[in-house]
Parts: sequence; C-alpha cells; structure tokens
Amino acid sequence: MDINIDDILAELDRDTTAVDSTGHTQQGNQSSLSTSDIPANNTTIIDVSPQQDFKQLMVHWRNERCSPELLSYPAPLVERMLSRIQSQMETIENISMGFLESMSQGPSDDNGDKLTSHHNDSKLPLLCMEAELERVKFILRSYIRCRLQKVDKFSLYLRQFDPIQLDDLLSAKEKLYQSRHSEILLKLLNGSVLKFMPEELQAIDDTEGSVNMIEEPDWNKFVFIMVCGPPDKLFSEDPLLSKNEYGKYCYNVTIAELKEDVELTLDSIYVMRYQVVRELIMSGKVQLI
Amino acid sequence: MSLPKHLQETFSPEEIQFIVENEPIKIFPRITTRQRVNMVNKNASQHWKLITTDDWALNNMVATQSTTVVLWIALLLKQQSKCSIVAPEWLTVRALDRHIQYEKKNTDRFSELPWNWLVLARILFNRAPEDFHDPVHELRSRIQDLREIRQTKVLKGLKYLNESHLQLDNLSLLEINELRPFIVDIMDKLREIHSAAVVAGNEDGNNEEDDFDFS
Repeated sequence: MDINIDDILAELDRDTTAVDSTGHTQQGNQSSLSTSDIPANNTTIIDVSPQQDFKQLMVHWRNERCSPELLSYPAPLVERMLSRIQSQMETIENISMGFLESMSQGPSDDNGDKLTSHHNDSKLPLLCMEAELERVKFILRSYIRCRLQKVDKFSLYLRQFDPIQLDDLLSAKEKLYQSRHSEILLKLLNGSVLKFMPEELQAIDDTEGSVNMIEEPDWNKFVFIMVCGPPDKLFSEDPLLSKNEYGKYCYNVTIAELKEDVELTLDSIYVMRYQVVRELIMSGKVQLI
Repeated sequence: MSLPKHLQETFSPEEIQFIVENEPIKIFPRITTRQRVNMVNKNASQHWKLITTDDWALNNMVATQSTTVVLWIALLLKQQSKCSIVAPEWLTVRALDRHIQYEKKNTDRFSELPWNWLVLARILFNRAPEDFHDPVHELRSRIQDLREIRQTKVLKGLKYLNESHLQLDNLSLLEINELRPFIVDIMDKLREIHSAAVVAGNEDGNNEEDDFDFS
C-alpha cells in the first residue's frame, strides 16, 4: 500500500525554512530599513532581499530594452538599489582606509611573512566588491539611458498623458528631462521653420493632417517572450493558467486581428505581438528576452 | 540619442555575456575563507559583503570543498588562480554527443541545451581550459557541431516566418539575439502587409496555416 506523504514532508520542510528566513531578516537589517513604511510582517521583508532586488532589476532592464513602449518606473526598487550602492561605496572606502592603517602600523606587531600572505587574501573581497559595484552601476545606467531614449522618441505622445499617469510612468528626473527637452526642441523648430508656416500648419502635434505627427509606440511589434508563469510559482492559483491536452500549464491568448487563439505553454519561447502579451508582461508572468 | 542605435532593438553580445555571468556555477576554491569559531575576526576586510548575490557561500569557502558562486566571481577567482571551475554536466563529451544524436534524430526541434550553452562554453574554454576532464579540443569541436546543426535548423525554420507567431523552444539566448533583428523586422513587415490588406477589405477568408512549430 502506497501512502503519499509528500504534503506532510512539505509541511515539515516549511518549518525549517521558516527558521532560515528569520535568520535572514536579522542579517538584512538594511532591507528592513528601506521598507519601514510598510507594516513589517515577515513576508514582505523576505521578499525584499538584495538578491531578489537585483534579479528584479535585471528583469526590468531586459523588458525595457526589448519592449516597444515605455514601461512604468519601478521607483521603490531603484531607490533601494541606489541606497545600497551608496552604502556599499562607503563600505569600500572604509575598508580601503583600514588597509592603509594596517599597512603602516603592521610590521611592528606581526612577523613579515605571515603579514604578506594575510594581505593578499584580504584584497580579494575588496576587488570583488568593487567589480560588483561596477556591474550594478552598469545595469542601472543602461536601464536609465534606454528609458531616456524612449522618452525622447515618444515625447509628443507622452505630452497627451495627464500628470497622474505620468507619475506612474516616469521618475521625477525623467519628467523634468521630458518637459525641458521638448521645450528646447520646440524652440528650435519654432525659430527655424515653423514661424514661416501659415497659421494652421504651425502645430507640432497635428493629428488631423495626412500624416499623424504624434509617434505612438508600435503596439503590435513582434517581441521574443519567455513564458515564466506566476512569479510566486503557485500555478494552481493563477486563474489565467489552464492545462492543455499534454497536461502542461499554458496561457490562452487571442490575436484579435487574425481571430486566432494561441496557447503559451510554460517555459517556452515565442515570437509574439506585444499587444497580445502586454497584460502578462505587466504582471510578470511573461518576460521579454 | 541616449542609447546608441545598434543597442536600441537588441542586446550586444557583451551584454548577453553579462547576463550569463550572473548565473551560479560550481567551483573548487583553493583558499579558505571560513573563520574558525574560536578565532575572533580581527580584520573586517576579510569579509565579503556583496549587494547583488548571496555572500554566505563566499564567506564559508573551504579549500577543495566544492561550493556554488556566481559566474563572474568564479572567473575573477580563477584569474587569480584561487579556484578551479567545475564544468556543468552538459559540458562533457558524453553529454554533448547525446545532444548531437538528439539533434540529428529530431529534425523538427532543438535539443534541451541550457539557454546559455553557447556563451558559457565560450567563456569556460577561454578562461578555464585546464579545468575540464575531457580534452578541450574535443569539446570545442562538439560545440561547433551542435552550433552548425542548430543553425541549419534555424535556416529551415525561417521559411515559416508569418504574421501571427512562432514557437522557438530551447533556442539559446545568443542564438535568439543574433536572429532577433532579422526575424522581428521581417515579421513586422509581413504583419503590416497583412493588416493593410484587411483594412482594404481584401480579405477573402483564406485561413492562414496556424501554429508553425519550428522548434
């Protein structure tokens, strides 16, 4: 007789991980600081580990690079990353100051042979920390530059949004950039060309004429997607997920223009129209690659 | 613009490598960083304090006991000859031969190589050639074989570019990245032609063959 005890074992497993995660929260006091405005129950703090944040940032970066539209700005995440970069820079500074001190006073209280080997070892963490800092900064820089490029491109389109939508979409600095940059551009165009035009042709954002002057994102652009499933991996609780005839989980989406249904199976790669999977991307169930 | 033209639609190969370098890999450290319990830690700089990955493994390295770290740290340690990198299971002559067999047998799909196989193989061949159990030149030639087999399959699959969608299971990130500008542009044009025809009312009800699986 086979008795399936998997759920009992899972119950036991969960207990041990609970102990583990509390240990983590005590270590990561920095992460709990940044979320102090949220009611501090255990689950939220575990979610905000530096590792998770970095993974999230990578996902945001890759999505932004591949998507045709400007995605909304993950303000809390970027803020946490920036504060971590700041504090890490200070730590590195402090450690390298410590180096100088121990170098100058070192030989007096230790024998030389042991000291050199000791120092070779302890430079390694510093090297790694500096390299890591450069890597994080690269990602952030590339991410923000990519967003600025889109802000440039969709400048007129973004002007149509009301301020509340913009708050969600852009960071404060990006908003400043957008308004000032379009101001400068308008000044140039007005001064050099538009002022010689007849009155009715002077508008820069004319949508009535033969060609629409406001460039919108290409909503149906083809993108490469990877179907990841719900971020919390609770497959049975996702209402959009269903099982196909092979017993695999999949999302059903419809391409409206072709009246065609497509099954997006989990862990598969597709080339798909952006509009069709936009909702899934927003909820993190599908990633752009 | 703030982002160079060649980066606007796709990633550069260096960026693909950057993404791959964030994956964990197994190493044999040649240094010990674990502090003994009775020894008080005098020098704080001996501690690894990282902000993107778990630094627990790095603070608890014991020489010749395998551990898992992020690839870029492994490469950094390797450069200083402070560790040797353990090649993943699929990077052996036997496993690669199996993949080649699979690729040859199933002409309609790609074998289940990890999404970073091409990049990882290249990195490890260049940076850690002495850490493999199998001779590197044999591994190299098998990787090359796999690459060529898959490329011919991709070329075959390009016949099925359409205005609806494609499924490309098990295509690796680098392979996707080199195909991206081509596939996306062609399919965008096909879509434009198609939707223009629909708008013009020329739709004569012909149903496109759906679900091209060129995996």
